[in-house]
Amino acid sequence: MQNVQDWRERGTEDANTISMRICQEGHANALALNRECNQIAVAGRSLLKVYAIYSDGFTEVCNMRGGKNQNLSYSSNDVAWSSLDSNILATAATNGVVSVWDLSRFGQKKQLHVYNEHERTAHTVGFDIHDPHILVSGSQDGTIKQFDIRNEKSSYTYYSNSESVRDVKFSPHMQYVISAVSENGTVQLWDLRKGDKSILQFTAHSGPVYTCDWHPTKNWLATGSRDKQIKIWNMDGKASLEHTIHTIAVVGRVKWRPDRTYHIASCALVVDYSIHVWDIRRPYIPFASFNDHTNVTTGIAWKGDNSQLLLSTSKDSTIYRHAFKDASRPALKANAQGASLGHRGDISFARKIKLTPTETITHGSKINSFVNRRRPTNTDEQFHLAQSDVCQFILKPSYTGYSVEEETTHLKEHECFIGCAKELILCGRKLADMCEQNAIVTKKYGKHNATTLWTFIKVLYSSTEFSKQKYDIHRNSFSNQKSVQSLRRPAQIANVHEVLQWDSNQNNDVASNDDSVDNGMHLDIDSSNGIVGVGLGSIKQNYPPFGSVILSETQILNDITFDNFDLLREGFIYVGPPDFSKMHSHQETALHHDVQAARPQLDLKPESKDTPPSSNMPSILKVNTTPAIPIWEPHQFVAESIMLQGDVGDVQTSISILIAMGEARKLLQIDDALVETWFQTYIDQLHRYQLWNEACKVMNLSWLRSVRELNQQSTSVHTNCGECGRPLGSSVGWYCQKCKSMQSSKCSVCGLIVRGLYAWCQGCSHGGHLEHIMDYFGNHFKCPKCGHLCEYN
Amino acid sequence: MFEVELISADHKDVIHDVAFDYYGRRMATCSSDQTVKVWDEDEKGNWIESSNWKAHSGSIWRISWAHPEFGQVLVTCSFDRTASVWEEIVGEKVASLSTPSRRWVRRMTLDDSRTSVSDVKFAPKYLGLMLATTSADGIIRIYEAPDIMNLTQWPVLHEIANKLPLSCISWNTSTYMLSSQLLAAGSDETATHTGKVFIFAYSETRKWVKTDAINEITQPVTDLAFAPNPGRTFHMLAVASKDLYIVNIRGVTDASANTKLDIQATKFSDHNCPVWRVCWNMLATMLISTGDDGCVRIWRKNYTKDWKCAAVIKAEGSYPSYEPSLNSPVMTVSAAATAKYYKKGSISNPNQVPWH
Repeated sequence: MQNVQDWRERGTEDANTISMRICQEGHANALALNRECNQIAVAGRSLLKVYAIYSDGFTEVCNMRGGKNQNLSYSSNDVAWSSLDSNILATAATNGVVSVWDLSRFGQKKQLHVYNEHERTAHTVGFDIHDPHILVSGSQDGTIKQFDIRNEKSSYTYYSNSESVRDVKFSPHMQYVISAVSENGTVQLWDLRKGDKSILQFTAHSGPVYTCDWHPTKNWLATGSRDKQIKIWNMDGKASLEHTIHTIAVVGRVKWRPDRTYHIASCALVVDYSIHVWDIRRPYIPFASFNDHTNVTTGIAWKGDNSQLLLSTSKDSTIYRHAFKDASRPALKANAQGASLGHRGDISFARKIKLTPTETITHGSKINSFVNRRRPTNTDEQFHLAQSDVCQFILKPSYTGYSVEEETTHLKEHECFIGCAKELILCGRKLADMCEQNAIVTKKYGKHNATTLWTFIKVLYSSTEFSKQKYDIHRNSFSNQKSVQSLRRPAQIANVHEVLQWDSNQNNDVASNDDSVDNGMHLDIDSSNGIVGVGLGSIKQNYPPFGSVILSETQILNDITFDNFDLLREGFIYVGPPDFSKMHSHQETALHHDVQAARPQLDLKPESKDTPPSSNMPSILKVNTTPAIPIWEPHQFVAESIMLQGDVGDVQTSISILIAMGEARKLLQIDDALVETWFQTYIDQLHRYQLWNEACKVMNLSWLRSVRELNQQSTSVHTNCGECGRPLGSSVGWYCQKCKSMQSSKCSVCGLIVRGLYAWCQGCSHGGHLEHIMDYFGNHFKCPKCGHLCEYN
Repeated sequence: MFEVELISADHKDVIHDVAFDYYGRRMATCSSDQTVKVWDEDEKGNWIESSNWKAHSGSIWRISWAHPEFGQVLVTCSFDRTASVWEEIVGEKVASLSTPSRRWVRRMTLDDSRTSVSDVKFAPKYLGLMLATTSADGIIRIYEAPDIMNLTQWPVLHEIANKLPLSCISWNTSTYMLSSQLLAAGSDETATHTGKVFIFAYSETRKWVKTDAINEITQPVTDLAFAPNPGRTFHMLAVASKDLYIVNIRGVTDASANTKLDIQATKFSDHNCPVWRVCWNMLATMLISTGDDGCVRIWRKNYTKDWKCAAVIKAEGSYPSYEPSLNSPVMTVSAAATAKYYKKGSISNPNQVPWH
């Protein structure tokens, strides 16, 4: 006991993992510690050595396998150290011999006794905890033998009635009681004084039981088996199962951890080289793992009652002293959360609800409210409290403030998508009609940007020529607008700006750079010009100053359903020129000069800045009022707009516009690869929402071969004759050449030949008129013809 | 606004992953308790457990759905060093009214790994029925079912060894503006301070080659995900580490016609705690990340094309009661379970305070 104290005092020195290679050939099968736990005996096929354990390594004390003694009696399966005398060792050999060794003697004399009584391999050997002279062994021959090491012969043989006894352990709680586990899956308790019959027997596992260990304080027995399970039995009265641990491999050894009621170490017989320490209350994931060995671990022992040090031997011919602090903690590394985002905007979120130690620190108060117990200080204590719940964050209908019409206000983003997918008109009408219709549809679903785009497309492309006249009309439509800001900036041709601007008339606190806006001509887009109507009257709200409110793709505004406050502060999504302020200042300059004045830069291409973002938002459209320019080529700008729409995630609008434009799309310079990606994305989206017809329509309307061909894959249906079951592949229609009949074409319900929709079962090849089959399967579930259990849904 | 509904999943240990299927109508959960549960949504939007089975003999880390074109197929990976491919079998229905019996059958056990299989992901559909696994010993394995009708054959196509243990993997969903398919893998190794995210490209020589390591991210990585690409010129990768990172990856061709990747990582420290999971929406307009504190953050792009946290959600008071009698499959939590919102970030200029 004094020694144990010493280690604890020297804890820092001892707290390192140390290892040593113990032999070159063969491997260790077992280990045992002496009473003081300062020496370790290691036994193997050609190995029996004792090492002293120091804080920085092992030193060989004694080698009992000299070169000359190579007989099988020395090839050990197990080794045990006397509980009293640190010089007395016992080994169980593969040939059945049980030997007792006295380390205080020299040479050959070390071998005190050789009990050659077992008929087959001896698997295990152990000294009585209470009486150090008593030794028991378990063997493949199905017997347990008791020896008194003062005698030359065994004292008693216990017959287990099983093929093989794999492990025998003395109970620390009851003198004379041993547990024995067998390959037939049973556990027996024997009273050494009553040799005829076991005092308790029960089936513990569905496969061979290879190991058992008594709990040091509770009357629990742990068993480990080939069925990969460790079971904890309460041995009070009749054995009752307390816990089951599922490991990943066949369990070779188990060992209770001292000082920790619920911890048990295990190692596997095959596959898994690690030593795992389990908390039996959390039977699925190891509390700690030691992954140092490079082959199967064969023996484990805690260093006395020091719970921080674990010794192990392995088939890799090494011994390790593992410091617990070096163990890996699989549970800490494991992701404790799962999250998935549905495309209907719902979030599924699973998280650990009981706490890890760190959580305790952060959210202690909260936690205590639901787990009403003392705040744990020991991290080990927390380990077993692990469970998750799944939260479903369901997207509520979108924020209502941005929609014009009441009936659209309760739609979720995906409902808008589905609505648009179904209602957008992509072909078969004049472009102007389609655009108008689609503008109405998108408006209905609150996609104001899309509405604007459609309207632009209508204005720009519904006539075939892009003439000066055309442009003038376009420009005139803005002529009586309340304000127009002019902006000319060649560098920004590429960008579409959507700028929600603070209406300075409404607010005097505007930032200074907004002064120019006052002077500028404000644009009030009225309905008559075909652009989304924004009544000035609707501008009742105050909006943040120019620099901070940046507006936003309305669709995104629409589908952001979080608190509006948050949104306005930082959720705005703006896609525009990267350097917004620069653009703005330029604009100012322009205004200060003279808005309407002819500019020196007449060579510049004018560009139009669309767009009223949403109807009940005050909108400033930045439109260039420029001196007449012969021909305005809007293609570049339109292409950019469409690409922008794609960029912000509204591939639906981009692709719909391209389809609707028909041949005119050739004027737009959009890379085919990009269009193909859009097509694929949009088709994939439609599929996700199970809009098969819409997806098919889009494929059909595609001008890209690769996309159109998607429709032509796997389009044939193979049918069988209803009479003979042969495939009808080679024949015409439903005529079967084998049985010369047209039977398959007849309805199995009414017997008439089917014209039109024909429903039939792939399983039995019988079918008929769709409506007959529907009626029939309303009441039946077997085929009307052959009784096959047709699947009709 | 979000409504919170609590699903009493009734797993016996921590749930490690949740995955919606392609249509979002089914959900799979996997847990340390070695079971997988599949949930179906009914007409009222409730999630009903439709299957539940013991899938592994160790903790199940991740679960992934195959594209429905390949059938109802799931893949799981586990601490028990295997990944398994599961297929749902719909049996014949017993009576006219009852629904057909469904059960999940193990089609294949991928047992090549000698350590815990930390992640598994199906490849994008255009690559066929293919999946990638990562393991704790740093090996990425790519398997393919050459015959999509036969899910029992999954030969290993590639094995990519790495020095660091790997914890997560993601396939790029598009090769738009890139010369090759990309894979990203992350390591949760804690000892070193080198880059923890690696980018692999499928080279012309039909080999996966590690092209880049993202050196900005030195903390252990727990999850990463490529954003779907509807035609952006660059690709985005979200990385969950000690902080959230959003990485922009652009294929560039230099003067000598060599293509390489231009990688820029941006760090977001809003979580103030380790980030466990990242997940994109279908169009990559929104990203969610979950922190160790149980908060889910929703990210959107702002006007400077930066990502900003748009909302923080946390379901409070939503802990299940431990009364066994209340273990109904779906438990709607009343007033106590309303989502809470936290405001993050500060506004310094009073002019910027929004009006309502």
